[in-house]
Amino acid sequence: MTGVSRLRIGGAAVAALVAGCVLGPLVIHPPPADPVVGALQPPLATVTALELDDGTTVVARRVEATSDGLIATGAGRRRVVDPARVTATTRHRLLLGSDRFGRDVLYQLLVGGRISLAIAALSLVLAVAIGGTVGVAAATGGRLVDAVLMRCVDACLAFPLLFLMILAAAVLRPDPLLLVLLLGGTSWMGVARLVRGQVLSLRTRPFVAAARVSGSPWHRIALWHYGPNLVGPVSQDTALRMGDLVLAEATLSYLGLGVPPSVPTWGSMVAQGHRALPEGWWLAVFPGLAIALLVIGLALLGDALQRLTEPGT
Amino acid sequence: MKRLPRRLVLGLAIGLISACANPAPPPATGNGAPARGGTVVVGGLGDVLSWNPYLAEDQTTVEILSLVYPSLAVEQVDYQDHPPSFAPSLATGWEPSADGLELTFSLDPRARWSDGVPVTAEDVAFTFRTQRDPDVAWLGSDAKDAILEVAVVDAHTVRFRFDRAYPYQLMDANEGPIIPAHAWGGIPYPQWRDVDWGERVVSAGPFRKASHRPQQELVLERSDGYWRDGRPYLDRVIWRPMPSRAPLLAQLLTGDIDLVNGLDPADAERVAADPRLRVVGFPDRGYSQIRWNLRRPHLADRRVRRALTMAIDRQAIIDVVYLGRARPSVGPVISAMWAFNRSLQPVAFDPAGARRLLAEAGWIDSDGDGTLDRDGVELAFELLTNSENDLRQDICLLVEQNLARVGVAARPRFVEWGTMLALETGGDFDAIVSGWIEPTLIDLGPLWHSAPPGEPTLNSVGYANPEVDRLLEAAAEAATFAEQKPLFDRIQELIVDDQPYTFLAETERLVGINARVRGAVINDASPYFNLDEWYVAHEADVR
Amino acid sequence: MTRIAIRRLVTLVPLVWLVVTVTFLVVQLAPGSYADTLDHPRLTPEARQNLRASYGLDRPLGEQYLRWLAAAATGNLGSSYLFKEPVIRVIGRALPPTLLLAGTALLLDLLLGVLLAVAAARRPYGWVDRLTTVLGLGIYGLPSFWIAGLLILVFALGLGWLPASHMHSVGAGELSAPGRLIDLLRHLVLPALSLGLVGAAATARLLRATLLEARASRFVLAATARGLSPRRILWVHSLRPALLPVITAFGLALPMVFSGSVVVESVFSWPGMGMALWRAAEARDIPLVMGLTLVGAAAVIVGSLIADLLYAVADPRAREER
Repeated sequence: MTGVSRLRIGGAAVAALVAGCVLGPLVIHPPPADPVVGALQPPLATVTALELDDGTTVVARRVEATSDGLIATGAGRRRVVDPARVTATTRHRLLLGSDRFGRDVLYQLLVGGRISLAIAALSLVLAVAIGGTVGVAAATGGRLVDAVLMRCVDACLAFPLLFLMILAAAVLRPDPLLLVLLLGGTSWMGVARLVRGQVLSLRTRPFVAAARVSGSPWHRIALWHYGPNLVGPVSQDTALRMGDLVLAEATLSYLGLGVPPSVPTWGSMVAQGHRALPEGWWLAVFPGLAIALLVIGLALLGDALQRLTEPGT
Repeated sequence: MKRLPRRLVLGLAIGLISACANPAPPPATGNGAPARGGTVVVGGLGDVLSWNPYLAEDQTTVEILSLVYPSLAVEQVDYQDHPPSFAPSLATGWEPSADGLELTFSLDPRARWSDGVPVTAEDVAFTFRTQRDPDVAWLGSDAKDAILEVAVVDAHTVRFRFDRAYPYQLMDANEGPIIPAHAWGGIPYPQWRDVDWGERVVSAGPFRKASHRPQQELVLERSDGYWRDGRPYLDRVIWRPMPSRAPLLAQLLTGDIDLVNGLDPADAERVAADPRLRVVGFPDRGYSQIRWNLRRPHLADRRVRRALTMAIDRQAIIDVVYLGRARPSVGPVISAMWAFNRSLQPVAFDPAGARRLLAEAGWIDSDGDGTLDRDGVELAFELLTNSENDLRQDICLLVEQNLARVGVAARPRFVEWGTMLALETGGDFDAIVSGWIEPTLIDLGPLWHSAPPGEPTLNSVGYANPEVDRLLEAAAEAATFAEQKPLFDRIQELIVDDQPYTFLAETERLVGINARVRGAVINDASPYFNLDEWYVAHEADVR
Repeated sequence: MTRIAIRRLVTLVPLVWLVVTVTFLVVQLAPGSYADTLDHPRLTPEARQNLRASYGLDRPLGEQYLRWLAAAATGNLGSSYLFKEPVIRVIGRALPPTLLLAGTALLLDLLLGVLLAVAAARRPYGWVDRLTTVLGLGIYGLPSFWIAGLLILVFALGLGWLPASHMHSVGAGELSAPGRLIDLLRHLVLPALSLGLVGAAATARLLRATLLEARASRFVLAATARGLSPRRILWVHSLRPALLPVITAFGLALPMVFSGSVVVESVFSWPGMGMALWRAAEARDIPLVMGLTLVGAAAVIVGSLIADLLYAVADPRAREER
């Protein structure tokens, strides 16, 4: 794989995920959820949805007409329905199966992807912005600034965030913006250390030294000399961090800080899917694959960026 | 983040184990006489945290220490038709006085502590002093509130004197194990919290402590001096504490542990499918419910609460969440208990009726957004439960689906256990999905008697019905069970009428056990109810 | 460099104090107390209140804090509410398993990571590079509990080669000393792999990137011009500067050796610091939380110091002008 092909493959993977999540839910029309007989249908199953007059729906793999009425079977359970109460019948194909509550996994995955991707991406932007600023400032701001900033980083790393989250969960109402602030605000320290290290070593490079001697202002140096050389390592780091953030969202949900439990996210789908693995392998596998695809795609993009910005190429 | 929820940790492994477990022949049914010897390994989530039963603050420690220290009598599991009876243990018998104010116990003269010293009436008196001591601050000391004095009559006779005649005297006298006066009596109570009790265990049960590595392994071995003939049969019982459920199930399936007390319904299906294992299920006096905060204006209306109950498909919850291993819950006394009012009927599932009842209470969808409203306020609330409990989370999601169909917006929110308790005690919630385990001593007061504001109470929903208060006070004064029963019946009717809770399901305790373990009677009194009679089948019997 | 070390060690105490103080505040403000989390069968609301009083949880916040600080200053970390024994003893019991597990994992992380990265960087975009990239990303893309689960599934349940949990087998106390050691090592393999593989994948990726960068630097060009062998250039001239970001990452990972990993310790029932912190948090066991935070904070700060010192050793330029 050359840099260009990595760029193409990685870009295609990430673009496909994003496009699927943004557009997919507009195109797919899943059947209403039936937790009793419609639960845990395997991928590619075709189901019949019977809408009843009281507003409920029965979704089943098999519906047989007998003298007792319609017998719907699925998930090891059966239900008898009076044909007179059926107001509409539709058929659906569940490409990725249904979950323990009879919800369409593909639809959940795409809707959940919107939230997971948005939250992870925004938190990442926040983390990189804080971490990058602190890192550059520490590396270029002189001994005292460096010492103060890096000791702050140490203190933030040493603080057991768990308790802060428990406190936040009790005092604050869950809110997506809060989630971004918490995730971004607690994961910038690694970026700061990485950037500081890179800048420290860049400072001694001839081109930076030349720029400093020729009197370029610091912000010009930061933007034009440090910036491009940081893209490679930071984007590498970012790709791996993104996967962590998607999963960390599930952790915060556990503490009651995440998105509402009935809204799917990839992190919570993986976590919930694990519980039900014996009953339905597809529940954990598909969201897990989505996260893995995201990480791999971003990492390939990072590789490509590194190659394209490598000095001397 | 240094922390990830334990639930997230549930192994991929678990799921697939059932697929790789080797099929084994079914266990042989032929069982000869109980054989001596062998080891049983028990897996559980807890560990012994203090070897002094009066400093113990958790369920697991209490359960395990009840095997090491003796009790006067053993409560039997026969509460279905009458209050539970008791079988002799350290006490060979007991006799009430004519005025009903005294209870005299005769102790088994053969009983010995593990260091050879006889167990005497002095130990019983010392135990009582310990139970009441403010420095020890035993959590269960309220059980002894009615006991005025424990007098040593002779070495093997001890007399309890009560301040009044009431039906639970024997139960209260028996509460808490007997501890060794000769070994512990010399340590002043104020110093008890600083003592390493693991070093000072003097036991008198069928088993004694052999070794204990906290959070790793606890070994109890047969106590040779145990005074009951031929018992116990087992050489050793080993506890393996585990931090989460995932390794518990995995190790039960691989045969590394023999018993797991408290399986999830889905785990129980997997255990039941393995021919080398069996599942014992029994009602554990637990029931799950939605607690409605009656201080919230829209939930204060009894019609609204009844409509919410009608809109929730409780049978679907039993089928989907408990996988059929539960029964519908009707009211505040579980249906297996002698005090249950058998004329009560559960509120029927009826979404259409729920809509009508809500409309009657003024809740209609006037703005056409799908959610009912009244005076511009939507019928919406938060449905709280704790993240550690998967089953309750599933219930929340099903209830959300159910209520959405009648135009009620329930928003599930899962928080960590400590947070939920704090929100509940502070009254800072709309509705909570939770559960109670009902004690065999029926006392509805703590949950249902109206409490003055600011007083600690379990009545977190703010239920206040003057008639219920009056009946509860009358029941507490009653001298016999027969006097209590009609009062209990009426209380249950009133509470079911008011629906301060939506009663969901009466749950089962599920115990997974290896088929090689024989003779085990497992019930809701204790998973180790008759541990001294357990034995291990010979390899040849099983294979 | 000694001066740097001394200067940094001086800041250790106030920094740890700051972290511990903020933690105390946050834990106290978090809802629920130890008395609220108990599940004792006979616990009445009154008993809960008495219990709160007997642990001093009803005292004013400032008084509790000063009391704890005064005791801690003399080396007394108090008694754990949960385990009913001195915090020092709980930590003393949880630390060795964590040191063993996380230390092994970190070693695995570095060794495997460096080897893979060097193998990949010898011929960038060659087949070794591609293979390690795909494998590394595959491992990194999966949540760590999946990897643990997969290892248990294959090696413990499937093949039956290794135990799936705990540090010792049932009855290991009766084995001979070498037997006990082998038993321990067998129990160590799977958790150490679960913890180390993800790290190795990350290290390899990071190092590969910086190795490629170093290849283009003037050191390496000069070395190539001097006619040194490619092997020597790779291992000596490129690797040393390329290790810088790895060292940064190492410094960040070092505290894990003292504070443990909740996920892996929980999956494998490994009785380490991660599990202890988890249980302490759940039970609102304030003395234990504070003790563990103290150890963890000191580890982070010392870890960062060690990383910076190593950094100075690896890159002479970092010493210039600082």
